[in-house]
Amino acid sequence: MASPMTKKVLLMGRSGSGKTSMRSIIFADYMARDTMRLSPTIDVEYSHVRFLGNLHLHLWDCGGQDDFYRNYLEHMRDHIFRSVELLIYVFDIESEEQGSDFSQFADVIEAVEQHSPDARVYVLVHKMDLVKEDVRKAVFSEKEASILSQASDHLRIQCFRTSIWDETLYRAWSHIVYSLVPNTALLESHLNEYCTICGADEVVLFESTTFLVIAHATCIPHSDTHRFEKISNIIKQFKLSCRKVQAHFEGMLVQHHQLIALFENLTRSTAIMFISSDPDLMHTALISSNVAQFRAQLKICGLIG
Amino acid sequence: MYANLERWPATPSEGDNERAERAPRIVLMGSRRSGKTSMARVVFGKMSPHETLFVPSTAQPTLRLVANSDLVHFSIFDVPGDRDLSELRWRDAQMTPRDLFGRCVVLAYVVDAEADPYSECARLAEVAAAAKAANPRVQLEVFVHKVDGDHFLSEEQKLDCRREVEACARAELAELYAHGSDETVDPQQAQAYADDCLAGAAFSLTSIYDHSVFEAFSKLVSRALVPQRIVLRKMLDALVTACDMEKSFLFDVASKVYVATDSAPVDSASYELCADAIDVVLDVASIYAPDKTQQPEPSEEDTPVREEEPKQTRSNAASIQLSNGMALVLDEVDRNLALVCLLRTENLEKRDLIDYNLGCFRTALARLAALNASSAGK
Ligand SMILES: Nc1nc2c(ncn2[C@@H]2O[C@H](COP(=O)(O)OP(=O)(O)OP(=O)(O)O)[C@@H](O)[C@H]2O)c(=O)[nH]1
Ligand SMILES: Nc1nc2c(ncn2[C@@H]2O[C@H](COP(=O)(O)OP(=O)(O)O)[C@@H](O)[C@H]2O)c(=O)[nH]1
Ligand SMILES: [Mg+2]
Repeated sequence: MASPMTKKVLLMGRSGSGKTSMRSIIFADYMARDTMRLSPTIDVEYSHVRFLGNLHLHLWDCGGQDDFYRNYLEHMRDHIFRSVELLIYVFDIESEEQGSDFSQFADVIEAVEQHSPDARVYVLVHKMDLVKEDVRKAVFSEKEASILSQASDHLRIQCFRTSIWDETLYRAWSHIVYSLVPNTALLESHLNEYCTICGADEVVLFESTTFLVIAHATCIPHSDTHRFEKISNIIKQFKLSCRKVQAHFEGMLVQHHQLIALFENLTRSTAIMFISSDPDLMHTALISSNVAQFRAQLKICGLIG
Repeated sequence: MYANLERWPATPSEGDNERAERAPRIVLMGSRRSGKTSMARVVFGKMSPHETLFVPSTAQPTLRLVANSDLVHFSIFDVPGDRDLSELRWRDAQMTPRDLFGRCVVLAYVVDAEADPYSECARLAEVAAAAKAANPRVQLEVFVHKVDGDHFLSEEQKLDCRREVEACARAELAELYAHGSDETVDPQQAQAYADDCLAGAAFSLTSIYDHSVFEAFSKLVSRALVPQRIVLRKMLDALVTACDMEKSFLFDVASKVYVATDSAPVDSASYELCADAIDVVLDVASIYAPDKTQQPEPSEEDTPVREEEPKQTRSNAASIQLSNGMALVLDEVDRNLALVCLLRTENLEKRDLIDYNLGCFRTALARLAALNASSAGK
């Protein structure tokens, strides 16, 4: 087996902005409301996350208090900002000190640009649930514009609005991890082929612990562009429910009018969702055997462990 | 329409007032800000717990009609906390205890777990005694509510709180009895009175931030408010035996309250899991088959046309597998009623047997509903 590919991910932003909360929900199975009990992060908390067979993430959750930042930017500058694959910077939309938020952001960007010029940057405008729904879009656009205007031309920066209380969290993080998964193009071409052969409307591949989407193939277009993050959120919530009875979620079959939705573990680290509205395909045994074949095929290609 | 009538689901129709008045009734009482309105709205009105922070204090008694299906049809009478029983008014008229408790099936009394238990229980005793005097058949349910705050980090603390409330309610009732009479009362007699008042009363620990409030209402509804609850239990027992299941719940889909369950004891964790299973299945279905899940209520005109719809060979169903050798089977047995069963995974393999028995269950349920309708029509 090939040696694991480890990628360094920096998680930064001011104290209380929600970094640890998000990380705990996505990677450590916290419930949104359990995050109220988290205490401020002191210095850097390192965590090693195994994501898919061969891809390992090294998350550096950097405590956000001003003193720590002085330290990161001065004494530890090289250690922190060297060989960064990805920076996730979090803004608290309700923050009262926008001025210093931005100056810290500018310092971080400068340091990343200097030490890891190839890094990608994702900016999460967080706690959007605290903004009234009718103005969320406008508030976010404004914030996004001022963030992008701060940034240099060299780094690739993308902004998302997030909240731990809805699926926006999964939208942003799916995007982020998707950018880290190698071979997605090949994976998707296999998935597309499979989708066509077995007459599915849609086939989606999830990483099993986070339930983030890593690839999908869509044969019959669907109008809801946010459906994947909704599914991630829904299944993740249910996985937590299963944990309360000391069990893991292994699979689900939904037969609803003309819909059949099948969730099954595909490999050790992935799960597959199969959607079909074709009444001729309503035989679950058939679908299951298709899934088994596809699993074998992926194994042969060595695509995911 | 009366100003203080609410209806769930929120499609008011002609005659709601009358229906709400006639329906079997839960009287919801407790001190100010104890959480009565929040509870009712979270369970039956789909309000999220966080939104309840903005629920204004209830100024007037409010009647709510819950009409989700044939089985879930009752009203909730929400009484403002600070009002003395003697000065309650309903529709511009004085309300006597007989008016208040006459149609009452369950008196649900909410004790604020964060408040002083003695003053809470003194009032509880007073209300329970008045209810008993006005209508001896009233069933008392006590909700020891808001057990999610900082005082209740452990299960032990919650149980202590419940024990304290129960003991305190008993003592206050005995005291009330002793004081109510001029002569000196035999303490044993006072004790007997208190026991009698609390006979069959359940004390449940509740919070709107978790499943506990739904489970408490499930117990209340399935024990006292569902017509034919005895038959339903027998039907579920038969199903469980025939398919070798561990547990079964018949759920009201709109509220996640179970209206019936088999005779095996209910374990909270299984209840939570089954309730959450309904959510996950409906949420997935609503994304990929949205038009089908939000069917409009059939209006009068198109009712006959419905017969031309293609006959569905099977109902909406789902199954979920867990790693601990258990599986869940869900089946939509009727509009707004879902059967959720917990069974060992190996028994899931007898899928045909399960489908056959679920079919029998649906038929029996439909027959029961028809029976109910014809007897109500008379
Ligand atoms: N309303 C709301 N609150 C949130 C959200 N995300 C996090 N919080 C809350 O914000 C508070 C601070 O969150 P943390 O995750 O500890 O913040 P942090 O960035 O790790 O802070 P440091 O460790 O000091 O760097 C907690 O009380 C969370 O419950 C959100 O999306 N909405
Ligand atoms: N912590 C906590 N607060 C609750 C709970 N239920 C209700 N509350 C809060 O208690 C307050 C009073 O609730 P309300 O329903 O208006 O009380 P009422 O005066 O009895 O109608 C509201 O701010 C609710 O959010 C609960 O389970 N836990
Ligand atoms: Mg109220």
